[in-house]
Amino acid sequence: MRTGRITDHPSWNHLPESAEPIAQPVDWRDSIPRTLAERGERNVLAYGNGRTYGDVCLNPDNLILPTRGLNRVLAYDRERGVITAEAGLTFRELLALIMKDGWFPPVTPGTSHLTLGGAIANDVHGKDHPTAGTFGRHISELELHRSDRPAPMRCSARENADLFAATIGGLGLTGLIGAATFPLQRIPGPMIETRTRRGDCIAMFAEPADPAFPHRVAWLDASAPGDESGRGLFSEGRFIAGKGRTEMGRSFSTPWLPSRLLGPRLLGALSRLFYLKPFRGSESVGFEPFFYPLDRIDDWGRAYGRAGFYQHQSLIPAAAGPEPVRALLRTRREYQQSSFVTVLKDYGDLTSPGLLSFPQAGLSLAMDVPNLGERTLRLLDALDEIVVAAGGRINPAKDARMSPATFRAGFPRLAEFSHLVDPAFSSGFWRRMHAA
Amino acid sequence: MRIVIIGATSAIAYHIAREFAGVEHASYFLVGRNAERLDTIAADLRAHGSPQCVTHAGDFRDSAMASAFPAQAVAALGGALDLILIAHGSLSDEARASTDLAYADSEIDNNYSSAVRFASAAANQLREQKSGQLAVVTSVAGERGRASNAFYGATKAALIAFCSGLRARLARDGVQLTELRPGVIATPMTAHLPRGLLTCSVEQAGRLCARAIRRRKDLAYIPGFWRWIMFVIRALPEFVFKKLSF
Repeated sequence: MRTGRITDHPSWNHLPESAEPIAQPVDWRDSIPRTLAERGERNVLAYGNGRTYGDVCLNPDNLILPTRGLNRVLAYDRERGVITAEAGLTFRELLALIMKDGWFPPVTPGTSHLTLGGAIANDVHGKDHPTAGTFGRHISELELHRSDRPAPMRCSARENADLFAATIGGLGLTGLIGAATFPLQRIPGPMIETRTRRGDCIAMFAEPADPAFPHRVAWLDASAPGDESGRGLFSEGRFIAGKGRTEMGRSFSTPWLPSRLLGPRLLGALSRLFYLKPFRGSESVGFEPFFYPLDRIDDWGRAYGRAGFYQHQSLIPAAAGPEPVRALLRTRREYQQSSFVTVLKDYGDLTSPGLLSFPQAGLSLAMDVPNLGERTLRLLDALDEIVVAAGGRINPAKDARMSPATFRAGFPRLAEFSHLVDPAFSSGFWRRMHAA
Repeated sequence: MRIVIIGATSAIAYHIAREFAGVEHASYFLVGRNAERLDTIAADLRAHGSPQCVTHAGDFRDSAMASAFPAQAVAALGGALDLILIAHGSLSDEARASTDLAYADSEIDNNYSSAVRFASAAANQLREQKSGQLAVVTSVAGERGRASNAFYGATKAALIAFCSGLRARLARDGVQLTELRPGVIATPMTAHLPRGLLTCSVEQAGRLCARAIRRRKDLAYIPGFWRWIMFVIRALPEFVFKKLSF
């Protein structure tokens, strides 16, 4: 049995983890049945590129199956824009192949470092959710390896539809995703035209969207006083014709900074500076700074120090109106905690097949908070209360501490999902949600 | 460009191949042990821009396969070969090799004898063509035998010596031999070893190997800083070296 060390397979927010998992890399799809058969008493979990923020990608005391070796493209139709690839391929590797042919993934999240398997298991979304939906919505077929089936299963909306729906957004619990097929989107060029406005972004999301600009996102200023809580920079973007770089740039690594350095005061000051900095109302930028602004900095989570940080991403359904979003921002302020990355997006009503898919029509607020111990946990619990009261939900891919009750309240199809979990699969998150 | 790869499912070989598929749109004759895995590699190389990939599965210890492959590759790809890359090998289990001599024998055959058979057959083909390039993957482990990998290191040391001799012989016919000498690369072969500062990603290793091949180098350390590390390791006196636990 090969063994790995925890430092090789961390979660993105670097929260201290006590138990070490054992790693058994999966490099070939034909070796998966043997790996699953030889798991012994332990349960297993696929591990992609470690970009989730909590314990959905961890499996303490048990086996993780790193899948980065499964990074081969099995079929690529350059003319029609359809691709079949193994699940360990990262978006970065995918982009390197398809962008020079004028294609782009159907949906992209805010990092290019995640794997396709991770994108399916967490049913990721982009800044264009109202028009494109989630990534999982575009998957036409996937190959699923289960411990209770001798051969890999083909899953799609027509074949093994129940497992298909459970696997999209299924947090890796329904088996190991071997490969997936999905269509690409045609883009006129690699450059993005952006429009940026300063002001109350919560109000701006309430205005009718301009269909010409499908990508919309707002960065909120965490230093804003209570009566201006939604203020920030609202940006919209669209692909435009023309030449530009299709390769991704070099990135820089981050050293570990002292844990308390990025405290509420410094984060507040940095936010204010970022809010007040001069900007252009309209410009064209490369796709990389627009979609993947933080990918230039490897391991940026280290800036929060070895104590790590939490991310809180909630969805407030459209029916509840924008008031709960303001309440979340006010509450963070009352607890005297700050965040540099506070991002607001709107989701539309395009549904995903995924039983546990996170997005639904409404507003989604995501914020990083440095781990200051007990008082950060109290803040996050207070935020959860607001979300649950509004009928909303917390994104498991970003979570390291929500209560099982909050999880159950947010995901009404959980019972249906639980029947489809592979008996040999589990994760730190899943056990935490079932702890007494 | 026509490329033959012996050990095509090796992670380093695959990443080298991907470089040439994307830029030179090379055609491939892929030789390996596992037919299904070769098909996966072939599909990937086609997706990355290769117009033609032919696969050939077999056991590297079979000497008939070594002598037959150049003619098969020329026939399959329809012309003279531009690059033959010999990349198969396995990191021997030192503890097992020291007690199980049959296993030690088969490791020596796989890592050294079969590499020599394939390299010789390749050299004959390229000399006859009076063109082309032979690239052989060795290892920094071949520069000094360590307590933890005496068997593996010795096979690679022998292969390095063979490459040196073959390079000189081939030079007379205008054929270049490029020896690729990797340090610690994060591949399935080394998955059980701890990853440290010196570990290079396999993607990076593939790019560096492809660059060395394109520049028709005699020898390239992968990455280059291993030249200096190995300089130091070779210079350590035995009374110090034998006390080191690595």
